[in-house]
Amino acid sequence: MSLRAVPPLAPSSKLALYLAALIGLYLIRDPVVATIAALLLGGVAIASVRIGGATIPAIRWRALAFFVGWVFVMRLALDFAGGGSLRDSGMLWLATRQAARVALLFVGALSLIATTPARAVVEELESTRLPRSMRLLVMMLVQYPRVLRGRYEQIVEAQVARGADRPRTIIQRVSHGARILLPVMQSELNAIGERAGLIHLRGLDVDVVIPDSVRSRTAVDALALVFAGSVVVIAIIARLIWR
Amino acid sequence: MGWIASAIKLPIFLDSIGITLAAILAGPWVAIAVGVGTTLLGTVLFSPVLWAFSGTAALIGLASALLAERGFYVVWWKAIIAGLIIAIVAAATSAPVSAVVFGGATAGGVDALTLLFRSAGNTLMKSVFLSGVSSEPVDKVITSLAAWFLARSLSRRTLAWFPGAERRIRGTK
Repeated sequence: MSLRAVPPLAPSSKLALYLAALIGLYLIRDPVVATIAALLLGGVAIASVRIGGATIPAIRWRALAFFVGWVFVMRLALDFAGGGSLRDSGMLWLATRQAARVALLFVGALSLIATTPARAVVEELESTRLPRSMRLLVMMLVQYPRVLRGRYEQIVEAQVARGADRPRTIIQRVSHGARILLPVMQSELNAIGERAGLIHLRGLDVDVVIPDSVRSRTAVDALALVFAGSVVVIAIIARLIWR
Repeated sequence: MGWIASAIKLPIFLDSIGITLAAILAGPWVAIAVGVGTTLLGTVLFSPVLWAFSGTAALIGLASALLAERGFYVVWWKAIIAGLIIAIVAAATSAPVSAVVFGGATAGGVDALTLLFRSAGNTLMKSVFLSGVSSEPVDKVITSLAAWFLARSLSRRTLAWFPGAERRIRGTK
């Protein structure tokens, strides 16, 4: 059975695996083991993005490098300010462990976002017992970033085509993005609120019985949840044993 | 606002105006949903690590709603007091996340304050908490006043969409 033949994990299962990996990593006390574990888990996250045929924009990788570097330097600076010595290898390892943990936090979230299409979230929600208004809100929320990004790019391209300068620096993009996106967000949020409100007011906000044949979760999802739970339990036991 | 404050490295956040406004208009559950929704949306749009502060955002929403219910957004000076109370809630709930999850680094302007308190001999957790207590009051007072102003600026017709909002904003039954 090839990797592509395995049914894709439901978004909630991916989230459970991500959280389990993070909890496990944060519970590892030894800096060397934690760093190696973070590298391995980060590698798995990146591999899952590649296998899934998804991509992570270069700007996100630059943000990751900056943030992880910042965490490393800041942790060193905080320990140094607290009386530590920069020649102390233990202090360097503690900063490395912190940076490795944050790197996994970042890479895991990036890969989760990249490998979870909004459609998959919507499909999983369709087979849950959540109230309809709640489902609608979550569905709109997961599709919202793409809608906003799409609108922003369309408007910028149209303005550039008419001879306007393309915003390049972060300050230009922030002010330009806010000017363009705020009215878009206002109209979109109004639409979401009105739809959710209508569903609630018209009494359509009721539990729907979902037949088993429609449920989106598979045996692979159940396995993933068991695995995620086991990782957390083992990490807690290991932490208690090696105090 | 939070995006702009972060981009120019201000030592304040200004990222909870919407949460406080939702709390004043629609009560605790909507405020919590807006708080968690904002951090999740921010995770996808701006920073993949923002979700770690979902609990803080939810508690800010809850605290704002409780204060709004007790009439803290009827007059401006009470909104300032509400801002100070929310600041303590925010500092107390975000300090463990900042210290344990990020090791005291948030890549924002408050990191300089954390470093300052650490160099004064405080523990990492205490330094993060103190930097939060130092920066949050300014942030949350501005946030509270902005939310109070926005809520007061809404027409009665708009307020009629939100049960109890009129009482929470104007103090009328």
